[in-house]
Order: sequence, then structure tokens, then C-alpha cells
Amino acid sequence: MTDRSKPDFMLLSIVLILVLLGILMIYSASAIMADFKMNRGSSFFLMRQIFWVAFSSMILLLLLKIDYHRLKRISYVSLFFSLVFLGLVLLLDPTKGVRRWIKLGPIGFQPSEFFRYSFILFLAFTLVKKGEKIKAFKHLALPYLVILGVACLLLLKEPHLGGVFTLVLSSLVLLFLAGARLKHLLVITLPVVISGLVFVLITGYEKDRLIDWAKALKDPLQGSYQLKQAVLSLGNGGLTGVGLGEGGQKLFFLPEPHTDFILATIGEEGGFLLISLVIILFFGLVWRGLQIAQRSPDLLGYYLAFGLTFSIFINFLINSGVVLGLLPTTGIPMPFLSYGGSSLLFNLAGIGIILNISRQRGFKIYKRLW
Amino acid sequence: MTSKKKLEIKRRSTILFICSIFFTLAVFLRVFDLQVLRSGYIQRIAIKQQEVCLKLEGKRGVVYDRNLNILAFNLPSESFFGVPYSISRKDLVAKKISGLTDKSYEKIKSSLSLKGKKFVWLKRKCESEEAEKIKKWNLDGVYTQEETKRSYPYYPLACDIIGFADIDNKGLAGIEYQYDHLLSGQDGRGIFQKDGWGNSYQIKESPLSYPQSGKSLVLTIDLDLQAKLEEELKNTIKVTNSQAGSGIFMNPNTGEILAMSFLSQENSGGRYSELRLKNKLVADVFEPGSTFKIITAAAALEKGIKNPEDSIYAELGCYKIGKKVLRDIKEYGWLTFKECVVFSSNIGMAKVAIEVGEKGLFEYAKKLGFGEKTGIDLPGEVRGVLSSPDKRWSDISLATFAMGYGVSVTPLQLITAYAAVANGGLLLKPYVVKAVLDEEGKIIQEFHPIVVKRALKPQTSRILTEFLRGVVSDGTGIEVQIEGVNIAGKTGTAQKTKIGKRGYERGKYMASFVGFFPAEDPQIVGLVILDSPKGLYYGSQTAAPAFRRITQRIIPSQNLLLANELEKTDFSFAVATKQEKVYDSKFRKKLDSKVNNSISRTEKKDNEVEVVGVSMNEINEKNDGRKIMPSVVGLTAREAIKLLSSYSIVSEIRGSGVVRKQHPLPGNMLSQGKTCFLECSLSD
Repeated sequence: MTDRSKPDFMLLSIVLILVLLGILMIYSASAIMADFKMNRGSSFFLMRQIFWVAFSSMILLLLLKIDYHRLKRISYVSLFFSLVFLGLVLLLDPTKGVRRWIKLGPIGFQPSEFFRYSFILFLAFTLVKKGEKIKAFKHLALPYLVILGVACLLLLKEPHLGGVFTLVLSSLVLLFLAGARLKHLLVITLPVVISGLVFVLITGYEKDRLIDWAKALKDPLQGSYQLKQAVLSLGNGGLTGVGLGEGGQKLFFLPEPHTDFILATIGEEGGFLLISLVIILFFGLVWRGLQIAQRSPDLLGYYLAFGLTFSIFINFLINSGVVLGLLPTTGIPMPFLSYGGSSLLFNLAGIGIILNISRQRGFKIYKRLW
Repeated sequence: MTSKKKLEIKRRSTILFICSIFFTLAVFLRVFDLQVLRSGYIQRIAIKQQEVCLKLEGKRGVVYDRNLNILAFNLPSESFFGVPYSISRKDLVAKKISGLTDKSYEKIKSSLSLKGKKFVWLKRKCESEEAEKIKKWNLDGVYTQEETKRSYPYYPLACDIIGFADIDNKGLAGIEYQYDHLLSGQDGRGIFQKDGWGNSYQIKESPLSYPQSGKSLVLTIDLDLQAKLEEELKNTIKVTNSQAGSGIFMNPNTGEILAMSFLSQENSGGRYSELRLKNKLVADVFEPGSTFKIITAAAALEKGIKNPEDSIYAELGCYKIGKKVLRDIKEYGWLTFKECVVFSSNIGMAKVAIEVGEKGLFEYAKKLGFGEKTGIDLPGEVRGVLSSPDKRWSDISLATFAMGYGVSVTPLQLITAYAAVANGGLLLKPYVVKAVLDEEGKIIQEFHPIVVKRALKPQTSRILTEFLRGVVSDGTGIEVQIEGVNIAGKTGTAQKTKIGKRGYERGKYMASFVGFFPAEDPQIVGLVILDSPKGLYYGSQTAAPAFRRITQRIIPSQNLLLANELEKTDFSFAVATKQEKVYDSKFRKKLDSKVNNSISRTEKKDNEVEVVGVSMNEINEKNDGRKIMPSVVGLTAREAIKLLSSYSIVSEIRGSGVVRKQHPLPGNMLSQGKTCFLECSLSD
């Protein structure tokens, strides 16, 4: 490409702030647990997170350098492999009753994350080629809905309802943007929702969660134990929080205070002010992401930036919805903030691609789109 | 790319953007609702689960002897407790712990398995070795808390005086009980942080109220003297084959108790198997026998009825009064009044007593403190029995009274009376606490000698001292003689009264010796009583030699021959008897001027003592076997049973743990063998 300008400074700053805040809060939330419960020393999770940040940053820088147009072949290959992994993970021994992680030595990663990003890349590359044909149901169904359906079934088998949610929503956003008919999209989502409900009724696995969720919507203190503890954290934090490191909920009241429920820890220690900052940062991320999409040099860049941004944003929405009792409890990490290698890796990789698009400004067709 | 497509993308991305605004806003509003609008309400619930208000232990004061030897202090210790729902292997915990405690495996296991139970004490107050052992087992769900454990480094030395404190550091007997209000620290309150497992508290911020350490006490007890007394008592009990032996040593010029001990045959060998709740030297009475002749002598001298050299016919050892016959050990003929005392002639003293009359005898018995509590700062004191002279006494009553029968006194009353003889005639209030120290060891309160009243004229006291001197030099107390020291004293042998019944126990005697030295300037007054010595049973043969042995051992260490070296303590407050001896005219003036004040003061104190005594200790003075129910609420079931069984009360227990209710209520009169119902529960 011709115009090799600098990456979007604002987006980079937002991500940087979130990642650093994540490191800080992970340390605060996990230090006591790591030391007393696991006997691994208080900085156990901190050091691992720092390692993952360093590693993921290198991937980010790499993708920042590679022209996104050249990712086409990689996206096909990674889609294939991620689907294989989704199948493979089901052959492994379950941990805590679910099979979501593939462990390679000390490193574990979630194939669901891998698949989501691969699929978004795949969607972006193929949708550009499909153009207006997407309006035909045949072209929508093949190959997208087939692949999506297979992936969803595999995810449900893990079981990982939260993973299904984020995958389907991210995909639908991109399909909708690319011009798929709304009525087609509804036709495909309804069976997913129905099959989901059937699944719940048959296995009963997520049934209690749904009942808890219904209760919690009204009074979050009536919800599940985790949710109640999360809400107590938030309420205890109040406007300004109890102070960094001073939170009492992480002392074995709040489950997963450094992973899925890190927002609760942030809310307790940093209060409404810090959570507001987090919300603003994520909204800023969406806004910058869409700006970059709008200014991208071609439709591929547009789809990619839009898809990746929304993928991160949907993760944010679902995670905060869970912590706040607006959605049923499901294991979705908070992007950038939660402890966890694979989530950080794929999110930062996505940011790397978006930043690469931001370096190639000057898209003529969609000028003044917003 | 058509413009139609352009438009569609524009429209659709706008819709998505608006959706994202909408959802962000929803999240934001929910956060606002929880963190701002409903924060107060939620916060209260959160704090309730995160924080717990616990007491911070105020350390109990230390008890020192007069030379600052530590008699009671706090040992840091660790207590272990279990949190049942976080114990994965209850059987293992129960097995390990049952090996260390007297609780059985089943009992521990069942208490850990009780539903809804969140906290179970497993082993309290372990010393470091044991604590390390338990910690090494690394049992999950078992946690530790620091507590202090009351420790008595010289136990069982002076244990009757010091008493003891229970597992919650509450004084139950002796000084620990009497001065519990000073010794016990004020517990502070602190907010502790709780975790989700319900344990490992760590302090949060500064405490709501700081704990305050209790005050420390300096006793008048001299540990060295106490040790010698107990050693000699042990030997004497063995040699004389007595049931029990007791002794008191006191400074006659101040009323300070220097040593005090009761030992019985069973426990003289080592540690006591049971808790000793009462100090028999203040709480139990006996019929004194000849040592009580001092009353008759004092009355006769003061009333001018007899002079020391007046002759009295001793009827050659056999004298009939009414239907009874009085006998002497030897067939004495004519004796002087002094000789009557020196040889302890029952007949001679009976004749004097009849001359003095019941009013005079009663008056002097009263003056020398009999029939009244001495007011000592030890719990459970009784006043003894002294019948009043409302009706005219028969001659035989007068005679037996003179001989020390038909009257019950505590050993402490007897020695206090002899202290009055020794110090020139002042009845002092005996005491065991010399000073109260604060945490830094500064004196915040001193206890000075208190004169209850003038009992005898100085002149009388001098003559009586001469009499008592004669007892040792020529009379029944000849066994006590020690070269270089002039000892004055009196022997006593009395038949032992049956406990709780009328009459005497056949062939059982209370042998005693009470005396002071040096006679010319008494510094120490002492009393030794032996309960039922076998074989030789006279006071002159048993108690007197014991007194001598003790005296021999304490004279060098006490530097008694150098009177002005007596008080060798480092305290500025140490009552310097060398300057303020009763014989010192300056001090006497001071004391005399104090007499009036102190009488009223003492009376007031007396009432306090009484109130305490009722709630805690046996009031046995009625001698009709009826007791007063003590309070056992707050004691553990086991402690309560022990306490009650010492009153011969049968306990019936419902539940287990700490006594919450008792019936009958404390203070009620109880006859022996009655049942007390106790309601117990495990925790508050």
C-alpha cells in the first residue's frame, strides 16, 4: 500500500490503558489467593499475565507490520485448524466439568476464541468477494451458516454457551453489515435460540443459571452466589471505591476475582469512577474502531475493522452483563482486563490487524460515510 | 461499488453503532444503579460479610511476690479451632486431635459434624512445641488463634494465695479472684477482616478501642519464706503422720502476710489433682485449744484481776467443776499466774476465767479480733463462731472457753491476735497485696498497714510477751528454742471437732504452735497447725518443732537479728518497719491517730469482703451443714461440677459446654447433698 502512515494513536492508547489496568487489577485480585490458596507466591498470576502481555504484544506488532490483505491464506488455514481444535477439545478430560481448554504444557488456550477470530477473518475475506450475492439465502447458508452451525454444536458440546453467544453475535454483526437480509438472519438465529433452549431443558446444565438470572434481573442479591458476591463488590465500592488492594471481596468471597469477575474487583476497589472509565474506554474503542473502518482503503479493511472491533465490544458487553446481573452467568472473560493468555492473545492480535488498517488510510469510496 | 450499496452499509453501520450506544448506556446505568443509587444498602451487606468485630485481648496483670519474683504471668500460646465445612477429612482431624486432648475421637468427630456449626475449639492454649506439632500436620480447615495462657511458674507454691484463673483468664480463686477487677485487662474491640472461608482474620485499620492491660500486683508474700514453710510442712506431715498441716507467717508490725500454706497428706507430695477453690486458712475454722488461753490472760491483766506473780492453786492436776473434771498434764500445785500460762495449766486458767467472767472474756476475744473477719484481701473469709455473753455462762463453759473449746476461729484470726500481742497491742488488718503496678511497673496504688483497733494496752502486751517468752524458755514450748533468738509463743492441742456435726472426733487432735520473734522486738509472727498427727499429738511435740525448723531456716535469710535489715525490697513504697515500728513512739502516735479513721474504713471493707464471700465461697460458720449456693454461671461444665462437689452439691447437667443457667440461684441456702441443675450450651 502506498500511504504508510502511523497507526491510530487513540486506539493504541485505549488498549494500552486497559491492558495496564488489567495487570494492576489482576495482581490486586489474585495476590492473596495465589499466596495462600495455591502457595505459589503472591505474584504468580501477575508474572504470567505480564508474560502473556509481552508475548501478545509481539503478535500485535507483527500484525501491525503485515499488510492485512496478505492474511487471506492464513485466515483459511486458521479457520480449518480452529475447527479441528474445537473438535479435539472434546476428546480431552474435562476440567471443572467442562472442556474448553487445550493445554500444551503450562500454556492453555481456548479454541473457541481462536475460532471466533478465524471466522471473522474468513467472513471478511469471503464477504468482499460475495458482494451482493449475500442477499440470497443460498449464499448466506453456504458456507457461513453451515460452518457456524457445526462450530456452535461443538461449542455446546463443551459446553460453552457463552462462547456460542459471542460467536453468533459477532458473526451476525458482520453478516448484517455486509448486506445479508434481516429476515434471513432472523430465520437462522431462531433455530439457534430454540435449539439452545431445548439443550437447556434436556441437559439442565444451564437451567439453574437461567432461573438465577431471571431472579437477579430484579434484585441482583437474589441471584447465584457468584452474582451476589459480584454485586456486593460493586456496591461496596460505591462511588470512589475502597482503594486499590483494599477490596475484601477477593478474599475468597468472590469466585474468579481475577478472571471472569475482574470487573467486580475493579468496581470494589476503584468504585463507580473507575468502572465508568472502563466503560468509556470500551466505548472509545468502538468509536475508534468504526472510525478506522470508515477510513480503511477498501471494503476488506472495512469489514475486518468493523468485525474485529465488534467482536471485542460484544465480549465486553456480555462479560459486564454477566457481572452486573443483566445476563445469565457464563464464562466469558473481559477483554484485556481478565487474566488469561488466549483471550489476551487473540484480542491483541485483533487490535494489531485494526491498527494495520488504520495505517492504510485513504479509502475513497466510503469517504464521509458517517 | 454502487451508491446503493454505499447507502446500505452506511445505514446498517449506523444502526449497529446506535445499538452499541444503547448497550453501553444500559451497562452504564446498571453500574450507576448498583454503585451509586443502591450502594449504601449493598455496602452494608458486604461489610457484614467482610468484617467482624472481635475483642482484642487485654493482657492480665502479673502477680509478683514482695521481691518481684513472678508468681503468675501470661504465656503466649496458640489455640486451634476447626471450621467444619472446610475440613475435608473430619476423621483425620478427630484422630490427630484426640491424641492430644482428653476429648475422645467420637466426641470431636461428632462436634465437627454438627450441622450449622461454624466454629469448634479443638485444642486451646498450646505451648509452642505442641502448637508446632499441630501446625506440621497441616490439617485443612484447622486454624489457629493467639491467646495468652495464665502460667504459675512456681506452682504449687503459694497456690492457695494466688488462686487461679480459668481458660478465659477470669480469676476463680485467691488473689486472681479477689483482684480480678484490677488484674483483668480491659478488652479492646477491633474490626477484623473476614474472608470467604470464615477465617484467618487480619486486623483492619486501628481498633475501635484499644485493649488495656490489667494492673500488676505485688504481694506481701516472700517466695523464699513460702517455699521453706511448704517444705517444712511437707516434712512435718510425713514425720508426724498428720492428715494435713498449715502455716502462716506474718509481719506483726504491718499485718503483711509473708507466707501462707495449707497442705494435706494427699497433695503434699506434688501437684494438686483438683482445683483448689478455697483457702482453708481463711475459710475454715477449728477449735484452737490452749493458744486461746491468751484471751483469758489478756482479760485478767487488763482488768487488773490478776498480776503475773499472783498465786493460783492448780489442784494437783484434777479439778471438778460441776459434773466435769478438768485435768492438767502434770500435777501442778501452787503456780503463779504467769506459770499457769507457761505450763498451760487448764485448771489454773479455768479459775482465772471464772474470775474474769463471760463478759470480760467475750470482750477480749472480740478485741483481739475473734468472731469478726480480719478483713484480709482474700476471698471466702469467715468470721468463726464466738457465742455472745447474753446469758450467763456456766463455770464449765467459762473453763472450756478459756481452754479454747467451744469457739471456732480461723487460723488467720489466731495469728492476727498474736500479732497484736507482739506489736504492742494493735489489732491490724492482715493483707497480701502490697502494691498495684501499672503496665510500665509504676506504682499506682500502695496498701499501707491498717490498724483496726487498739486491742491491748502496750503494758499488757509486754507482760503477755513475757508470758509467751516463758512458754518457750521454761514451759510447753521448750522445743522451739533456738540459740541466739528469743522466741515467744504458745502451744495448743485441741480435740478435733466433727465436720458439720456436734462433738469431737475420738483420738484426733489439732496440734498448733503460734509464736513470734525476736521477743524483744518482734518481726515475724508465725503459726503452725497440724491436723490429726498420729502418735505424738501435742502441739509441743509436733507443731512446735516444726515451727522451730521453719524459724531456723528463715532467720538467716530474713536477717532478723539485724532488725533494720528486714525490709530489703527495692520498692520505695516498701513499708519501712525499721522506721515505723510500733515500739517507735513516733509511729505509735501516727497509728493511734489513725485508729479511729481506720476502724470505720475497715468496717466498710469488711462488708465488701462479705459480699464477695457469699457469692463465691463456702460460709461454713453456722456449722449446721447448710451451705450457700455459689454462682457457677460462665464456668465450663467441668469446672462447675468441681466447684459444686467441693460444696458437696450434686450437679445435674443438661447440654454441654458453658453453664448458662443454674437452679437454685446463687446465694440460696442449700443443704448438703442437694442437687443443682445446670443448663449448659456450647457457645453464646
